[in-house]
Amino acid sequence: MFEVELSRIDTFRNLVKALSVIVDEGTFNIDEAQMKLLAMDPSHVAMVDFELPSEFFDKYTCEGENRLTLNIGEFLKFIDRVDKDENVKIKHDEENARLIIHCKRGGHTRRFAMPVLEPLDDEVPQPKIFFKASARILTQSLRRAIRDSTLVSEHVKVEVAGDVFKVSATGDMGSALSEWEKDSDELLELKVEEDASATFTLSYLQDIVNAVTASSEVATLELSTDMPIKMDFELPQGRLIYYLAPCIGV
Amino acid sequence: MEAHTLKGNSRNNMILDAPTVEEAYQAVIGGTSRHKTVIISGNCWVDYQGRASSTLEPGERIVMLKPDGSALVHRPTNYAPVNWQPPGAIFRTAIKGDNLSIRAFRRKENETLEVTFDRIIMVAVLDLQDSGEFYLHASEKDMQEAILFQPDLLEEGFRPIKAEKPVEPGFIDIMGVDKDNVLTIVEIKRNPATSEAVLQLQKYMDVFKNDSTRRIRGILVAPELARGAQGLLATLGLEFKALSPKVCSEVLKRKRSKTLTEFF
Repeated sequence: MFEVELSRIDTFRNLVKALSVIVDEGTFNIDEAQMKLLAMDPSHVAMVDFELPSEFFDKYTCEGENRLTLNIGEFLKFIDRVDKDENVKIKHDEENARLIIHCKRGGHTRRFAMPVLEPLDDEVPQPKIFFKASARILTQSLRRAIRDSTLVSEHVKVEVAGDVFKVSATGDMGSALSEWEKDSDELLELKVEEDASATFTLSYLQDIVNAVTASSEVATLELSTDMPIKMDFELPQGRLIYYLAPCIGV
Repeated sequence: MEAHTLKGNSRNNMILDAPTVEEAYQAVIGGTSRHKTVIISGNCWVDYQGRASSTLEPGERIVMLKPDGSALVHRPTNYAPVNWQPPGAIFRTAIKGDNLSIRAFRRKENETLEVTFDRIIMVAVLDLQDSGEFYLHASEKDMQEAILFQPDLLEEGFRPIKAEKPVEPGFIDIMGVDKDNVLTIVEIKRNPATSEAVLQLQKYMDVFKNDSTRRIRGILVAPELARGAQGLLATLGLEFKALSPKVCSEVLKRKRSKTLTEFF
């Protein structure tokens, strides 16, 4: 059995929203200590590695190993209906293959039920990459640079060159460039074993970064030339990491 | 006046630079009667009589006479023509006094567009070959590419095995297996799928049915089923999946990315 309780929904909702930009249907692997989700988007371009410890919740009950497969977009629609001053209880009703969402405020309760799906069997491996450079940066700064890039292109180049971290885009409409030197206040850390640059589809990157901004203040980007990027968005509790495959030859 | 032949295309194209009215008249008559595309630029005025009536005062413009009998008068600004006739108009060219007059009229509607030039900057008579299709969003090839890239556009669990597989009656757009490992033949159309498309898919199915006794599925992919195709599809036990070229083009925009699986 699996059941959690939250006095406020917003933080949890923001996280589900961040998952929903990548995952259509996802299987949460739940045990006594945490809930985890590792899933790719349908076109296998992006992956999310998500983990939330039991302490995140006000109450957390899990007996044994639990697998909970949901349509994440549908799940988001339901928890979007929860008001922020409502106490919410989420429970896996295994017998009826339903997820029950209980909202309570004063003497008034609302109850939603949504279907739990058959678990997806495909094991998702982690990409094996040796990253040559990393940048720890404010999520807001990254988001701004990505929005700048959408003005001119559908692709964005992320680059570590010497002591500089760069996000740039070039297209028919012009170009956009953000540069952070090592001593920038927005760039918290820059590690360079070797210069690295790779280009990514903006629509994915924009969806991801827009959705995580509400949950994460700081991101660590790890990079190697023409390899997937790893984006670790720091959470007060838990883990939210995305991998995104590069575009070659654009 | 100078006459040029177009670079790299000496076929039957001609450009006259600042011709006299007489020279322009000969060129336009020769062009329209041989069903070529004629472009005339110069100082002209336009009268239109028909369902409505209009007058355009003198000015420098571009007039196009197309082989299908459509006529367009363009001013130097704006994308739309200021006057026009749809396909099917008949062109009559004449010298009236010192001016060149071109009339495009549609007998049935009793509509006449008359353009009168008193000074001609250029006449081009072009023998243009154009058999390309225009696709607003994605071609059938693009739709195929989109499904190969993101197979769940077809259905969840679908795995493509081969595209453009040659078989006796032609090429199978996509061959694959569904989530239960049933062989699945996919035929893609970008327009509403007709009975003809259903029969085409059935032909491909027959190739495999002769070979084995195992179950096989046939899926017709198109934005919609044309009227009359539904019954045939059901009778033959084939399936239909609605997929629009527009959705495919959205998917392809994301496609130029590699996939993470290449890095596992």
